[in-house]
Amino acid sequence: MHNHRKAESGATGRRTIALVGNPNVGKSVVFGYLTGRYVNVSNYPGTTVEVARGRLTGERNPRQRGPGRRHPSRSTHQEHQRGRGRSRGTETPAHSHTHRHRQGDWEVIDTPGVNNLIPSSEDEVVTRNILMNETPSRIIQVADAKNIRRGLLLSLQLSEMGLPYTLCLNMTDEARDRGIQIDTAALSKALGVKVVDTIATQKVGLDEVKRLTMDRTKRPHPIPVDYPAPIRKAVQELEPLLPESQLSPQAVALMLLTADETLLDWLSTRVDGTTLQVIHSIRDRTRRAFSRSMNVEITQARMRAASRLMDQVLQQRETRLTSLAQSLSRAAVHPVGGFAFVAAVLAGMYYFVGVFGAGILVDWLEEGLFGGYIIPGLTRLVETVLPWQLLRDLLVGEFGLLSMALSYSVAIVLPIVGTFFIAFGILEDSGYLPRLSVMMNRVFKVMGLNGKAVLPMVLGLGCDTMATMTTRILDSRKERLIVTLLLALGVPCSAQLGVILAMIQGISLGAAVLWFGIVLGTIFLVGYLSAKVLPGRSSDFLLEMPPLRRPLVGNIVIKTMARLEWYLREAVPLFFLGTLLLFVMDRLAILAWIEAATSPVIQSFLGLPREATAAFIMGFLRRDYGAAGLFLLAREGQLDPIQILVSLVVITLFMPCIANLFMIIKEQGWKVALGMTAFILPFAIVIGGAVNWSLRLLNGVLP
Amino acid sequence: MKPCLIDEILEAVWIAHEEGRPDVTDLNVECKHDVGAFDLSSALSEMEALGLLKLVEGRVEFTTEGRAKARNIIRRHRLAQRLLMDVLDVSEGESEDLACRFEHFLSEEVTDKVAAFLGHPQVDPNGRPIPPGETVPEPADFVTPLITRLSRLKVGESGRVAFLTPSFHKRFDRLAAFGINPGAVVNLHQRKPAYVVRLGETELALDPEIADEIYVRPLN
Repeated sequence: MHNHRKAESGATGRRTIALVGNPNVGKSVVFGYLTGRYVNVSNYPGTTVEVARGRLTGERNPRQRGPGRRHPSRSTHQEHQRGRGRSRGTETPAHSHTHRHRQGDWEVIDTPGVNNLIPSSEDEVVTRNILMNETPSRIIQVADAKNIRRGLLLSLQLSEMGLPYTLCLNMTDEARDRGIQIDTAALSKALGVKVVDTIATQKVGLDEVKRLTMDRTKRPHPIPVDYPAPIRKAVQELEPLLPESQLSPQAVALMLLTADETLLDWLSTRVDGTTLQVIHSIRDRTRRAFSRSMNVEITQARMRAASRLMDQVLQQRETRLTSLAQSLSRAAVHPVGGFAFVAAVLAGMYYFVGVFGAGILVDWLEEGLFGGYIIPGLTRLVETVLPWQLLRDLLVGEFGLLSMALSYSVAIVLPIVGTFFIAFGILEDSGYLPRLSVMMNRVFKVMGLNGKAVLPMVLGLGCDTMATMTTRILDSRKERLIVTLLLALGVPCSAQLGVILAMIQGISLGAAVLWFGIVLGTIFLVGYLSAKVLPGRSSDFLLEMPPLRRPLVGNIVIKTMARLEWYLREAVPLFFLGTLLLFVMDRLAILAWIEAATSPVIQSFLGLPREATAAFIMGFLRRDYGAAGLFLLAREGQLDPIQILVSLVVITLFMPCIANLFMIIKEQGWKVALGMTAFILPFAIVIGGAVNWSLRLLNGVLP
Repeated sequence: MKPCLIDEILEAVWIAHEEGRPDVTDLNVECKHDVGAFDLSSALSEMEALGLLKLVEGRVEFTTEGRAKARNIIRRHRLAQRLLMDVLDVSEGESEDLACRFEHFLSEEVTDKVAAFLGHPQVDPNGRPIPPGETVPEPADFVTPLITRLSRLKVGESGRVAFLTPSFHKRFDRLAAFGINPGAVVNLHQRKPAYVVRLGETELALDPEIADEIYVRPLN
């Protein structure tokens, strides 16, 4: 065992602490505390889809690593070697020193939230594989104190695996409010692990969790679970046949009995063919003894054991909680009142993002700060410093990197995206999003989706690229494809939406309603049809609704900063790249050529001026560029109301931006991305043409 | 050949057909009721001679008489298990054991009375269909069932989960991990726009189809 683990840690180069727990129990907050880094902490089930990894922070750690003097990856390795050498040579005296010294070599993994370690979802496979293959030397299980039974289901499985862990009973404040009292000492004794009460958002108890986790941990006590007799028998027969593993043979045997095909690959590389056959026959024979799936038999037996354990340690006082949060919680999913809630939330977002962000902030930044000072200043500077006209144009010309890319990305898009991220963060942390899913479930069913899809769709109003990445939370590939398509097709991102709203204000309310109706209708139509066309079944709507909570300002700030950092790092370079591309195309007269080539379609079919073509091409580089280009045309009086509406419909439905396309390729492969592009381009034009021609025929509909 | 061995084999063949693999090699004659040592292939040929079964290319098929007999055994077994588990709260293992005995001696009349008492359930606690009786019951024969679907609870009412009959294994797994297992107490909060149930301190939203597949014993 000892040798085995050493070999493992040698292979990965460092030792790991894995955070394990149900969804929404505050794992990410604990992770942030341990690593000094923040990842998505939210109420929405399944947001921690990507596995976050970070380094355990230690007070003297950064200096000892000596950044800048050595290559970081090499230094890690050397530190590790030294750390190991020292601990082997000098036993106890240097213990505290090596202990602190080694902290930098501890990697913390935030595993996806799971309800069961018998995998039935992708997240659960990931977490189980981390426990099995990455052989973490320490595990911290975070559990929701008020939902202790579900936490204990995981504890039992960790105990059964024989992995040492520290149990962190989180949200004890909420449990207390509900009259729930847990006897930590008794629980600790029963499980044979350290149990700590915590309130992670307030950092209560986390110091102790860290301290206890770093101490040498013992193996937990095995907790008796009453498995049905055929399963017990099969486990006994399987145990001697299994290859050596970090996990206890009993745990591996039980895993094998479940319908977990992912484990078979692992097994087939470790045992010979005959043994594999014996294992298979035991498995099949045992399966036949049950009418239900073995997973359920095993989970139910564990759940009964968890309940027994819970009864021993939990005291529940009767409390009638009729707080404001609970009445709001009821109202938010009320069949009638809930929609008023939705309307209020949308209106709030409109005022904060649309009016304040896209209006006041953008005016102030773009026209005031950038238009008044920064751009003229930079232009003067460039013109005095740079003698070459080409370089001057590249920086401050019509498609200049500074005049266009910088001012668009910082003065127009940043305030809009920033306010959106704040609003979205508040929605996430308040626990409202799952309730929005409940309200929207039926509507989404029409499109072969369920209420869960509301999260990426709403996020798409902020940034389609980010939203496309978030489609991973959906359970089936069919749903991921549909949402990706709808995002690319019809959901305008916040930057684009800001400009669109500004343009619509220039025409009339009727036009706004018409635009909204056309876009929404198209989304529904395409969603409905793709649900019919794509194979596969839509997944179940089975969603946990965490309690409504007052969002903490600190958390919102950190979360918004993390997202803005993402925006600046991932999206802004694409603005520059896009602008550069435009500049080159303009110089090489490619732009003019495309304009000429497409003008029959643009001019006669859509009835738009030739210049609109440039806006559409720009729209591909950044969706909002396109809208902004049209905005300028409209402001210069070059578009009549019908033209404004047609161009808005086309630009909304048109190609996603280049960043979004890259994300689609990354998530779904280039074939799917190409297919979607091939559908969206002509489709947007056709719908635009249809709007144009029907409005021209019904002359006078638009005042 | 003992009559109860015949019953056991008929039962095994019925289940094999339900599972869509009526091969002789897949037959799983395994019941708690002691039938003593026996040789399956000779037992099968004996039953073929009795006109209960036919062996066709390694598969076991029923004769009309055999099917009717098997159907009654299955009906007795599954109704007995529902009675034991739902009404008498006997554990699953023990009720399975007892039902294995009941299936051999319950008379048709008693079986029909049990069915009526339970409100003519369609499925057994494991979600397998219970073959209906010979006489189709009049609506008046339905007593208020002791077990009902979660979706039929009144808003605000609680029920103790008796069994689940999910159409997909994955659904079952996910419900089980949330704690929706036999014995758990759930409270129905609302039906529209989605079902919302509370289970301990966990609130779950779910589709009506899922709520239809959760059977509960209403609590007052």
